[in-house]
Amino acid sequence: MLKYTFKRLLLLLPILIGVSFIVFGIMSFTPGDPATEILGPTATKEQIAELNEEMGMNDPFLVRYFRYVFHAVTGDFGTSYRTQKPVFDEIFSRFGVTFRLGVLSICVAILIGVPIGIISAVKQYSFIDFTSTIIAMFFAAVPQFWLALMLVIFFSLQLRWLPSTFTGVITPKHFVMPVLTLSLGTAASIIRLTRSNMLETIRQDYVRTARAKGASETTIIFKHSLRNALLPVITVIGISFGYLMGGTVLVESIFGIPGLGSLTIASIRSKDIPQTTACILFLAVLNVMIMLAVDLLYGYIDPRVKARYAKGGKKSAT
Amino acid sequence: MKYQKKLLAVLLVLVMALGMLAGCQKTPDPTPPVEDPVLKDTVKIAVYSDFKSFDPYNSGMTLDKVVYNNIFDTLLRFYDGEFENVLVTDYSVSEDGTVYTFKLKDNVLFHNGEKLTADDIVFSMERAKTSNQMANFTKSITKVEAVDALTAKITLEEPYVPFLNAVAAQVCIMNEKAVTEAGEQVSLKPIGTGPYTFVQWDAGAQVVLERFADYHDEEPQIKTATYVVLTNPETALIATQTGEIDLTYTIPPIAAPQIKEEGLLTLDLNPTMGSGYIVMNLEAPFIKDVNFRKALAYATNREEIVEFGMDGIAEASTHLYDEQTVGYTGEFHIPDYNVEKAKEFLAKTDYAGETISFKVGYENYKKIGIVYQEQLKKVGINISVELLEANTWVSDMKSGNYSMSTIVMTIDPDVALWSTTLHSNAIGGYNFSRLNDEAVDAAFDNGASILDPAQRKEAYAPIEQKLYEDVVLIPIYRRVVTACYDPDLSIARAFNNGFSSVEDMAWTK
Repeated sequence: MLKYTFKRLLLLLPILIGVSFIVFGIMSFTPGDPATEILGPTATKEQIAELNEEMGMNDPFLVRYFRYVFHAVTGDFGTSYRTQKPVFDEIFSRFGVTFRLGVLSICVAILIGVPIGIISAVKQYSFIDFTSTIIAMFFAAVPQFWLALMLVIFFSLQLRWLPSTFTGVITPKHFVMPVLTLSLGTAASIIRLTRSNMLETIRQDYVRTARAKGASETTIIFKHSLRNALLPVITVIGISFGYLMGGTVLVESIFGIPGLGSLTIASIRSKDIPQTTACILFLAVLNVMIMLAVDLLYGYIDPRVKARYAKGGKKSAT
Repeated sequence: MKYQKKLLAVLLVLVMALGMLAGCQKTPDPTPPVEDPVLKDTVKIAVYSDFKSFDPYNSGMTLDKVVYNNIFDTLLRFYDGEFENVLVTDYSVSEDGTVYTFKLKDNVLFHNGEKLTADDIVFSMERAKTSNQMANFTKSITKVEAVDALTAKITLEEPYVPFLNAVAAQVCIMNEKAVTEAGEQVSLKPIGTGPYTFVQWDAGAQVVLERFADYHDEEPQIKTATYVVLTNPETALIATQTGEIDLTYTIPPIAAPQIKEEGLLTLDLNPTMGSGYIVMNLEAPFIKDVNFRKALAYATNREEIVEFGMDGIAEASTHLYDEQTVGYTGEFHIPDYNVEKAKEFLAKTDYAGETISFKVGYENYKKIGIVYQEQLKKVGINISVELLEANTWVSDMKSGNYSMSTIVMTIDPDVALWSTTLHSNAIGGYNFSRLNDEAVDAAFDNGASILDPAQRKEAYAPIEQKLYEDVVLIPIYRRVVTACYDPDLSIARAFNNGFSSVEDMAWTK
């Protein structure tokens, strides 16, 4: 497993090079220039040209890219054109809240989604199954921004139970609505996936055998069926978590949350190349680590997968 | 199965009802219960976008200025057509208009305890000359000297009539020691002489200011001001209604009539110097024909555009700049709305129904475009409204890769300052019209140095004549900034950018 983990971490390098090249390229070749953004409408053409020259924007693309890579290798990812702060200062100042939201949201989604999915599958075609399917479909279909606004109107404006924005001293109450908004859609996917996987698993021969041997329903569900049913669900959870780490801009905008998503969008809009590249590189690393964690978790849950990782590069005997 | 169908129907009705209930608001009480009878001394203000920098010489953003105008003072302040003394007790201008002498107040301290002297004026003007933002306005300055500790003299190369507006009322006075100590962090450590000190900036979230105990003028009532970044206007409005925010500069335009009707919050529509207009590429096919442009002007119903394209949150306007702008003559006018005249002028052109592109870079501009599209259809002109990514749109506008668009330009109230959008040397920059007219260029080149107001107006007349008689652009509206706030908060005034300083705010209950 260690060897496997090490190999996966080594893959980070080509991924980072590829991502940085693509992002740098897109930001460089799309219209607009940072000098115009920085100087504003009162600037003359000459001032804009001078600032672009000063910032090295007139150098060929490859020269600028390799200069960026050279500095990045020494740990200098540049400063934001907008704020003049080191790019990772900005990222880390925002990552905390995004991480907390993401973790809370995924935990809530799992706590809601997995149990309901199991019950739905075990009690197929019952009232619970029917209701949970309808609710899951609703939350899967409803747009997040609409859900967020409805929650704000209901819980903040009408009931005055919860604060509508991330202002003042931040308390656990501030997280309730954003977490609900982010988790309910994911929970819906988990419910449906858990349900369908469980239905497939509990119909397997080995489960029938276990039942015939007199195993209790609890044992059949949790010992024999759930571990197999959860494998695809873990993948979805990993992907969802990665998506949440990217920051959901709409939810951040509605609740006034200073997260990674809004930072990335603001950087793109203002042609802040160093900040945009840093944000996307950071997210790429994060996603790779999350997928690695998911794959390792697979190995923990499924011994067959663990054995395959352990065999790794060994040639199989013929 | 029948039972399940009935249950499905009931559940669906419940879900719909929940959605409707959430949309029905009970009358909200925006004022939180007052526990302490003592007047509040804090204010939370919602703004629509994050800040970039608090270095006044390196930020062109309106919102940055809204904040740092509380931290820094200028020599003078321009309000309601007149100059107010801020850091000066008196000032004079030489007869030839090239030497300005300012007598400073004696009791002014910076936030770091340093006393304001004429050396700070020298430092500030010299720094402004080298800055990207201010260089254009301070380029006429040849010398700045400290005559004595409280007297600063600024000498210009030639008379520059907008000097007081563009420099004395714009250049924030900074302390040399504070700037030197801050180094590259000067935008994060602003030290001024203003009524509020900078406390902290949580990027993307908020900026906190605290009242300066040794302010040289009347102590403002508000002790702590927090500018909160809320990019979503619905959220900002709800937060104001629940009392989490005291004042918001961003609301959904469509909510304005309801807010006025309910009367639970105060709603001000603050006029600004922002001028919204239809901009046309004078080199584009059809547009280059003055008869076609006249047809467009006659086909423009600006009241309808304001009502439907902007939800009524603007003031219809027939002029690019008006009597508030120094140098305005008022002698020339854009054609009024007249569909028959529009058709008459269109008939004089080669236009045969071709579709002309109307490119925009923002969703709110797209709405204007759509309303305008319907108006032009009535006279037989077809436009297609295209929403581009903002940077792409700006790039296309600058390179002349467009036919028509709409834009808002906010220029300080002096005709000379419109040269950045109308002088031929700004083609490829912000002269999106690509106007290249000798008379207009000469008016800009010569007008700024004419001291006599009447002569100056006469010198600038060719600009308005060209703009309106040749329909270089079609003015539509004056931008308005909405300020929605707690009725117990009093705001004395708003400046020409539509925003108010914290020192002009006070709680009445």
